[in-house]
Amino acid sequence: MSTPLLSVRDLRISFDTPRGTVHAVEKLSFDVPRNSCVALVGESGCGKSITTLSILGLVPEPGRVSEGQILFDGTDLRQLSDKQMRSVRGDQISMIFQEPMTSLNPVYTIGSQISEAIRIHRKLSRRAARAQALELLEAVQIPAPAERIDAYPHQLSGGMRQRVLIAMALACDPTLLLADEPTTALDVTVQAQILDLLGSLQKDREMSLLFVTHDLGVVAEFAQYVVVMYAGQVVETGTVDDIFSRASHPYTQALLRSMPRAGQKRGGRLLAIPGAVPDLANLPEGCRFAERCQRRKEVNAERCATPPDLDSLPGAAEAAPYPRQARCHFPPATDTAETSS
Amino acid sequence: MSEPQAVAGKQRPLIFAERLSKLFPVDGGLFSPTRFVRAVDNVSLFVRHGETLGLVGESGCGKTTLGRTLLRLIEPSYGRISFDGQDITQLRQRDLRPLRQRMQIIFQDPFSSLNPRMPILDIVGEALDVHKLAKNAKDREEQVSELLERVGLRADMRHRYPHEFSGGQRQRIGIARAIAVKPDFIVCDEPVSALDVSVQAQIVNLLLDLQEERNLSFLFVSHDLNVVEFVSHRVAVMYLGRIVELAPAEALYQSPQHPYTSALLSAVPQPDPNKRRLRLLLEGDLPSPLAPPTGCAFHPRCPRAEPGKCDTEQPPLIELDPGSAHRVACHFPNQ
Ligand SMILES: Nc1ncnc2c1ncn2[C@@H]1O[C@H](COP(=O)(O)OP(=O)(O)OP(=O)(O)O)[C@@H](O)[C@H]1O
Ligand SMILES: Nc1ncnc2c1ncn2[C@@H]1O[C@H](COP(=O)(O)OP(=O)(O)OP(=O)(O)O)[C@@H](O)[C@H]1O
Ligand SMILES: [Mg+2]
Ligand SMILES: [Mg+2]
Repeated sequence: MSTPLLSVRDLRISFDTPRGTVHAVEKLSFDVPRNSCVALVGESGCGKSITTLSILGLVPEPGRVSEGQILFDGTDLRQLSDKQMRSVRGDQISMIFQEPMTSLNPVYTIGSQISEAIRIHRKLSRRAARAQALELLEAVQIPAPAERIDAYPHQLSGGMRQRVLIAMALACDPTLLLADEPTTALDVTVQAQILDLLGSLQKDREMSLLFVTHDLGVVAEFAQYVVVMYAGQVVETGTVDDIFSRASHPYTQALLRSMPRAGQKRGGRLLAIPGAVPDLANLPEGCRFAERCQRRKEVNAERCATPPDLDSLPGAAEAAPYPRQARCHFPPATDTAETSS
Repeated sequence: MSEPQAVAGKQRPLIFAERLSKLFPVDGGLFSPTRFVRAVDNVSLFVRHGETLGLVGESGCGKTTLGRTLLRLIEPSYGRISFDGQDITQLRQRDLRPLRQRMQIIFQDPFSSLNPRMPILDIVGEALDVHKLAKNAKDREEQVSELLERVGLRADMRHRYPHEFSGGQRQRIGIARAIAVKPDFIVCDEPVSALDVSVQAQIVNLLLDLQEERNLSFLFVSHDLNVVEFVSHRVAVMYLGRIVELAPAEALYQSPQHPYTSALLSAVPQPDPNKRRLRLLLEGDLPSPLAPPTGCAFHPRCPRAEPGKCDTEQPPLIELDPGSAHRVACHFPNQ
């Protein structure tokens, strides 16, 4: 197996707050293989966005990466100078942000913003850049692109703004595209088109995609590999099939159960996970999910008071296409235990 | 007919919109005249007491505009809105204020809807202040703490500022703010789309609980059709500013009549990697809302469109069968 395009090793992201230093992400490790599509999922606030931001060196103040390595093509991005990092950003790695409104500048037209993104990395005349911007707007299926190119962000719907951001991210043919909830603002038909588009771009351009989403339907249809996070840590990794047919970690299992299914009738309630994520400033010493864990009630809970490691699951194949791991003292006996749905 | 519908059916609607339209001017450049986007085009609908009306449709079709116009956060260009029997179309903003407590909105964009310079205590507390719902500072703080816990956040988070929260956490702060004043009607504009499914389940359950407790009404806008099916009594499907189908949830999902609704339902991603289904991918481009197609706005992308009819005559939203609650705007419904 070749080295992965991106390998995040023991990452820690810390925030200095009035309540002391908190580690929003800790001992976080995962890979993005070449030409692959990896989904990052997990409870709101678990650190998905700052993890993707850290890859580009964009963790917002007062946050900082305080430990670990971010190996891109074998190079630790944390060791690069600001100047070197700027040339990586947008050229080899680019990003689609979660916030469609705040990441577009309200005072410039979308056409000039896309052209700028192109011209930062490519020596092109304004005219040529504008022509390319128009092509990109077409590629992401903005209606009436020739008219919309001169529109300002506030004149577009949420979904159209998101498509503009996708166009900007594709401007320089990146090898790694980070996408933070790229289709959350889109309706399902446009989402299907955009995912098809991202999927074919990923294959044609031999690009890898690391995308954050909470839509498990999108994960199932679109991703090859899945990284599940909880409270700043990776709790499970595997192929899409591993996660959906043989979820191992109690959090992943609970997550899958909490989804409304097509055809589910009004009147009942969804299977929510009781309780809330622990406070980062006041984390339990042991397993971070223990307090809400169903399995803990059935097993010798004492061990849950010590922190579990992210371990390979028993029975995981040596040559598995993607590491099959879970962070739990009590993984189900065999890795083939089917999870109910 | 399910229980809540039967009960709700006896009452007059809480919110009622008649032939509502909203046109936005679009600057055509120096030498061209100003043109208009018909973001909402001749929409009539109502929401009963204790009822949830789901609203779905392509991005940019006007859902947010419709939701905000119903609350007069955007001024309608044409049409009439009444709330609890009172015509509010012409009401001055000052006279609207007492009604504001009764109609709230959960904004689609959790990033720009919270004041970055206020701690959460004040963001949620402000809503209580405006409507004088807190007895004193201690009561205010207690109410905010309780609200935060109801939306699955922790009470101790009340002293933090919006930037210290993730997208989904901010969305829940917006929800806490909207329910703080105990409204009768909430426009929920993508209330759960920034949330992972476990938090989404908490919030959906919370909204359903509140509806039962307080007979709340919702206009529930979402791209997630499974969630919409789960929470809605009736569902409206919008396309390019118009409602193209409106029916009880079960009827709409079981036997969609408009070809656009069928395409929409077929595109819902299924959480099962072994079941990648066939999508009815829509042909052609999204039409420009600046120059909507003649006749039925969907005809250029419709597999069933008949020349001479669909491209010339705009189909009205009519009952599928006389007396049916299932209404569709199509010359050739599925049946
Ligand atoms: N300035 C800050 N000070 C303290 N904590 C912060 C700050 N910014 C972010 N955090 C914390 O970092 C954690 C991770 O946030 P992040 O935005 O990465 O979450 P996320 O997984 O992307 O969530 P979502 O799905 O809701 O977008 C959150 O718990 C948040 O409270
Ligand atoms: N202030 C404005 N000025 C001009 N056009 C506008 C304005 N606000 C909205 N529009 C246009 O009105 C139409 C409807 O927008 P709206 O935001 O209501 O759509 P939506 O259905 O909520 O979309 P989404 O699902 O992407 O949120 C779009 O074509 C949009 O570009
Ligand atoms: Mg995020
Ligand atoms: Mg909207």
